[in-house]
Amino acid sequence: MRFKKIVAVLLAMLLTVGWATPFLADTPFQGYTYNYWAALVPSPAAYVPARSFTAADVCPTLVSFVDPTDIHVCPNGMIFIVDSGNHRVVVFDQRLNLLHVITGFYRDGEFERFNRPNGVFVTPEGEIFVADTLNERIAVLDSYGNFIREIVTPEIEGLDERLIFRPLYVVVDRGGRTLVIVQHVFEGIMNFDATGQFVGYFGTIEVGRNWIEIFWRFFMTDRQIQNQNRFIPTEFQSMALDDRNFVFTTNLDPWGSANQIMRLNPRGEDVILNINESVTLSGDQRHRTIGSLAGPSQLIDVIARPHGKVTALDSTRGRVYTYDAEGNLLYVFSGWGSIEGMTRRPVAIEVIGDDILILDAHMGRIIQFTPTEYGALINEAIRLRDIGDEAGAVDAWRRLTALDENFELAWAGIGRSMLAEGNHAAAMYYLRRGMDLIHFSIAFRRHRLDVMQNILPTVFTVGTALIGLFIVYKIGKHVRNRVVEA
Amino acid sequence: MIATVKRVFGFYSLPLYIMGRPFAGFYAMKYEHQGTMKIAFLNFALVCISYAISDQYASILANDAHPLQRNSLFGMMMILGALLLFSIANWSVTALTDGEGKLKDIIMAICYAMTPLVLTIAPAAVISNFLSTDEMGLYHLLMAAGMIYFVVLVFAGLITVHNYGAIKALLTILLTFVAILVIAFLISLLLTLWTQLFSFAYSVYTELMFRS
Repeated sequence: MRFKKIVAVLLAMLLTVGWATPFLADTPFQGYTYNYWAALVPSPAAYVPARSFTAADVCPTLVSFVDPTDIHVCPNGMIFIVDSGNHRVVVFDQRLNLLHVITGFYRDGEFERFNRPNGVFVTPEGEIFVADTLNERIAVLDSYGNFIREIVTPEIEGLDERLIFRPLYVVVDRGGRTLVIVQHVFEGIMNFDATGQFVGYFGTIEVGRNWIEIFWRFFMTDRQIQNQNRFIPTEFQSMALDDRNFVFTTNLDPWGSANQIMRLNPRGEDVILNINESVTLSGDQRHRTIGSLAGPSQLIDVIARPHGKVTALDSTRGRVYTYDAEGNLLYVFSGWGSIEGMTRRPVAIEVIGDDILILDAHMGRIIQFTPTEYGALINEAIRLRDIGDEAGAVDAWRRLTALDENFELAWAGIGRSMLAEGNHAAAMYYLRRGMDLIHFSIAFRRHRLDVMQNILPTVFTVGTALIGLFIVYKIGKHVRNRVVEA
Repeated sequence: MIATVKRVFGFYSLPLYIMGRPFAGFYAMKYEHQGTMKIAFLNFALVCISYAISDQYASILANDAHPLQRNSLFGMMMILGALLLFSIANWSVTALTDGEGKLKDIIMAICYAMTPLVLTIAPAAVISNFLSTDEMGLYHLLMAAGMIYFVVLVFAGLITVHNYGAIKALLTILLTFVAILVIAFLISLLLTLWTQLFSFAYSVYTELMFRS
């Protein structure tokens, strides 16, 4: 009888197993991040696809996008799509109501069509900057599409005569500087002042040295060296302004091992932080060299997110990587594929609040991703850490560790605030678990001081007492010997 | 002198004596037959154990290797392999250049020279647990000092064992590294050929199995 009961209980337990729901969002991609040793750690999906739409969803009569190249969301929420194949810029709002289709502008009574525009930027005042690539100019329009001015090939002494001004991307910072990425210009980003005068180049990419090639150069004749490919820096791929008026840019790295994201300060110097240097800001840390979806990540577009976060789009595998202000990889989502939430030929990303839009040139489709509980918690924790709300941040990090125990940044986050509180022993545990060795070392040093301050008085007291007793004993013995002798 | 050391440290006196007086010590080891293989193996085993202790128990700030990539047993095998490879290569070179040392002498000399490693590696690992990142220089200093002392002692040991001058000893050591490359090449060649032979035999076997 008892045996039967046990069997019944066991069977009942077995039944419940089937209903245990896996704690995973139903996504076609696997979220992951990298730990201290650049080993891949699977994580819950941080973002899931919420909706996707094409030109037909915006307006049924709108011709579908052909080779769209850029997407821009301006502060009032309007979405600009550069539909390069149809030589136009399509503007609609977030509820998908068509607002404008800009195909060109009137100047002196004549209509001038765009020719293969590639990038668009809208200033907070509503001025629209269109990089009109094959017309070799940047057209500046007002918010109704009326022509204001244009930026054309700079005529300045000393500039390369052969320069063809084919602007790809344009950004206007709050000081009114216009920064332009021009096709096949390797010197840097072209910098124009508020009146459209060329000022100089902004930001440069360091040329990576290949020691093997340098070694071979020793054995080459001058003629051979002349015929060699020159060491030319790669081109800038994209730009984004962050809330501190710094410029995030990406450039391709042929080896996939160096940082591909740069953060340029107003002087054009790269100031990106990458605390854990074993994980560079270059997308995937390891990749297949042959086969499908092989090769290093190519970060072709970048957007600045609030609180120092930066999100970049990889064209090799279609993944979207988000880093925090210290260069830690927070989450990865999307990928190559045809299922909802995957892309075939992603070209640009943009952000609306905490949502992220990916522009897929394959079907002229835009996919909107929205954060899951996990992703929202990460964003929230980063926000609270940035504004200095330690208590709130710790709460968010703790909830994150409950969702994803392998997320090092969460443990390190708890540890850091414990360190700030002065709870050094506990901080050591959390920082060690989060592999934040820099702060672990600090916590350790303070903890060591605490321990020493606690025990040293006792040690010295006991030590002094022992020495005193020893001296007393010696003197006593000496005196006794004297007495015995006498 | 050696008698005093012996009275204090007993059977482990010669390795310690070598640290202070390398030439006299190695001379005593070889020509006065004071050195034994037992003590040499003891020294080697102590180095292996020290390595394992350092690998497992040094502070995370001193050794931040991935836990899954810490394989103390493999590390010990590497130490053994390096010892054997260097000894055999050195022996094969010195046998041709009038070296007086036998293979046993060479191995013994290297093992006796390991005393500084025994004395530094494990204590450095212990000390590292009391140091923060800024102070970790002390740990690295200890490790480097032990290593440099070891190399110097090996050099002195080889000079004594082979009855060489300094220049000749240096040259033979350089040649030893060439010999190591040759041996490594031969081993890899042998492995490749062996694999091919094995796969051939295996395919013959499978062929026979399919046909029967």
